[in-house]
Amino acid sequence: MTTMKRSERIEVFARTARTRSENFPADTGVLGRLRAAGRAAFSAAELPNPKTEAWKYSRIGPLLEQGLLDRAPAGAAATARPIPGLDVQSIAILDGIPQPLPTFTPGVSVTSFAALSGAEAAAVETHLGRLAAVSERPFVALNAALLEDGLLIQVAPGVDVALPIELLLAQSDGAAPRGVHPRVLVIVGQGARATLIERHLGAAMAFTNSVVEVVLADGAQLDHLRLALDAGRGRWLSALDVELGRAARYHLWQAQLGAAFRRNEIRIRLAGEGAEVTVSGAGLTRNNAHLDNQLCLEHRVPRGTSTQVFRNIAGETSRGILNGRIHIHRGAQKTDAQLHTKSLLLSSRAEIDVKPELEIYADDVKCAHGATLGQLDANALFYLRSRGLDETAARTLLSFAFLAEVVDGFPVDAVREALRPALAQAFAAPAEEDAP
Amino acid sequence: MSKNLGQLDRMVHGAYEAGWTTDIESDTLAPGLNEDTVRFISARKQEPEWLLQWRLKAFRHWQTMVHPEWAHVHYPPIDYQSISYYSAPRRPGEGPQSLDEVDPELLRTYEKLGIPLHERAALAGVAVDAVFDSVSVVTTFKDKLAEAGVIFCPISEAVREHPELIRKYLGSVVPFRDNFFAGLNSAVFSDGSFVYVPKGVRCPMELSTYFRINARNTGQFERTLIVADEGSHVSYLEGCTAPQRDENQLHAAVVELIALKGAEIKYSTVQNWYPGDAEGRGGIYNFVTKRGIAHENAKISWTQVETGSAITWKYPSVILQGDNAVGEFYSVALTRGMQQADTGTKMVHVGRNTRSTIVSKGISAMRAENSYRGLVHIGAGAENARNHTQCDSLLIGDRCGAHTFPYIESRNPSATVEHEATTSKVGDDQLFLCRQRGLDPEKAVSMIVNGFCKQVFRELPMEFAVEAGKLLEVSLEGAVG
Repeated sequence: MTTMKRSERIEVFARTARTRSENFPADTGVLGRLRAAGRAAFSAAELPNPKTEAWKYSRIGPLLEQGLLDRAPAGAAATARPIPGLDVQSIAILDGIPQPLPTFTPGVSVTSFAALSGAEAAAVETHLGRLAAVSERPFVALNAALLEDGLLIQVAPGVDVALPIELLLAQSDGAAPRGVHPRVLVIVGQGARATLIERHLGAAMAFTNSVVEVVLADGAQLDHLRLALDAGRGRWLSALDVELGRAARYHLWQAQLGAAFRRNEIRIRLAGEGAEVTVSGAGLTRNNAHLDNQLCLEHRVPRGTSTQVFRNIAGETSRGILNGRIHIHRGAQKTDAQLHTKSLLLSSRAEIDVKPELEIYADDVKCAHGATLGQLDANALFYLRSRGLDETAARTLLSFAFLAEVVDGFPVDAVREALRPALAQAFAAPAEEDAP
Repeated sequence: MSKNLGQLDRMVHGAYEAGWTTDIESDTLAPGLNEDTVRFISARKQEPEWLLQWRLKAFRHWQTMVHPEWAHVHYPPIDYQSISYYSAPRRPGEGPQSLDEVDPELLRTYEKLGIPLHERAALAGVAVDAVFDSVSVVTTFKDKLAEAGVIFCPISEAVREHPELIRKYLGSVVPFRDNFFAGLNSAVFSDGSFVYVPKGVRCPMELSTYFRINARNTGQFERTLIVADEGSHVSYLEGCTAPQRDENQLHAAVVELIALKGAEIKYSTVQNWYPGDAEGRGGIYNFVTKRGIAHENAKISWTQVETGSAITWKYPSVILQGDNAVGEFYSVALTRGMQQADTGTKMVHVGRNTRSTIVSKGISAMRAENSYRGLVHIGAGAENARNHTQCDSLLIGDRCGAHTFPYIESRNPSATVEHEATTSKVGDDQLFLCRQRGLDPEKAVSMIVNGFCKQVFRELPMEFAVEAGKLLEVSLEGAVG
């Protein structure tokens, strides 16, 4: 496998994907049409190469390994550990396939694409693939081309859903390599409010290529928590495309540990006046993990506000990447957009790459970004050591505090409580021997 | 040491005479680019074989390169075959032995541009090596420089007189493989300046070159090489102006700076080439590769004020090779009308305790696009490296664009990098205050913009700072209201 040249591996990957897509039975429904569009777009697209600007710091090598496009064997099971003390209504997509659905609190409806009817079918028809268009990113096209099923999550207008909705994107246990392409469409109705907890549960040789589209109607609010705490497991490529209507609010919270490959492509579009977005991200990579966050915030209309805060730590030979782009369209006056990121390098063989971008076409705006890269405060370290902590404990404590600036802001108590031990454990884990 | 200086002195003088007898018969070369063009240029300059071979290698490599598309600028494809690659002022008889013999027509043009050459040189203590259409026309203050042992001459002359230096340093910072425009320049560079400051010498005056583009359809491919030997110091000023013209003109310069152990190079630019008309027609395409390498304890400082050109594509950079090296980049880029600028810097930290500072001020008015693009790279060995970057953008009007594309890469846990960027506009309250005090809106905006740029202007040598302030004022005319 390793003897194959990169171009050959890409060729094999693309050919396998096309063949797999062509094997789907002909279907003129909404899924069939999306698959056809995805297949055409994927065939026409060029897979990212080292010169592709958007992929400057991520190589797709880990995604090209043999078997990562295979279907998962049927009947497999996953071990999903619930978050202690968290009361949720839970939905699972296992190996790309929606699992049997429980009953939901009033105002929440969840339907698999295979079982759509009436208004739901119309909603999917309108929105599926609209935000995450197949023409722009080859892996979004691949998701469409290999789409088996997906979920529509709807919150009815005006409903305030108190019980968080948990969305598990999980891989079955087992060592067989496979690729899955989960797809979710979330529609929050006018003035409705909900909390979505998206958890990524991985398996070592699984490639997950997920696409989540979120549509927020006027005045809607969604608190979206994304947790990826299975360190080092799996290869993840997650597209998240969000659109906000007038005065809608979208709050995204991410806590992530690195994986063999983990890349998030997040695009948030403020399409209605007075919309508000906050993004908070905490990332920790260790050993040879890879974590790449690509964000694009598009202010398309006036009077939007957006605030983004990131904390990233990279240890051993890992790599942490953040590309935060703020795009203010012509006419989007009175926009207030901020991005602040701080990063810590723990090892001289780790690497952090940060690229906060501004693209501004309106003059009456307030836009700023700040990025710092640094090390733990020597005075703080000295203080802790003078209190009897050894070097490692002191460093761990300070690194933890660094992430806590973001983590402590997470909105759901049980999640916050669960994050502390998860992160502490990730810090405490011994460094692995270098992979050859 | 004094013996060395004497030798240099003789070399400098000798070179000067030789420099003029060769180029006089040259004429404008017909448009087109192939190996013969390269051979022609090299032959006209009576270059040694090794340089011709270097040019040809560069040309062959350039043919395999693709035109870069990544910058945030848009323009029709350039036909490199429709450009003339060599042009020299035509003059009968012998070359000028002194200023009096220089074509009065040329001198008048300089005056129109506000550069009273001899006066200015005398008054300001500036030695001017003026580049007029690719060939150096006049150089002053040779004696004073020679006394200090400083070599300041056209690069074509240096090729003949100081081949050992040229051979050692040409292409050592910007190899011809570096990028498309550097490759092109390496193949067809016309002329430019060469500076060598010997060990421990503080250059007695600021060195200045005025570039101008004059003949129609003539690309200008300047090549500047500055070598500051150990412990020396030099300040170099580069100013550019150009007359109005209809067709886009290509300018692809390369500037290489070498600051050896403990040396300091300060490079200041005021660039005001023709930016095209209100619809963006005409105007200079300015694709420049500028880079310096700072060895141990050395310092390289770039200061630029960019107000001209239809398109600016320019990233003056510093490779902080040695321990304790310092790199600085101060920039004001003003775009108006249909101008597009994609400019910034690269600070590549290699040595320990290296420090860099970046201050970039972008002003965008009318329908212009202004981008800052920068890289701060901290290598694994750059212990305790430090960078601070500040990029501020000012927008005037709602049809323009201001962008920031900073790349920050770090591989050393002991490094500290700080980057901040802001975007703002000329505040209504600021304008109101100024107008209330009796200033007209244009004056008020110009004052506010000058304040915005102050941090950069104060890095410029005094006379340049005055010129830069004036330039901004003139450039902003009609942009407000």
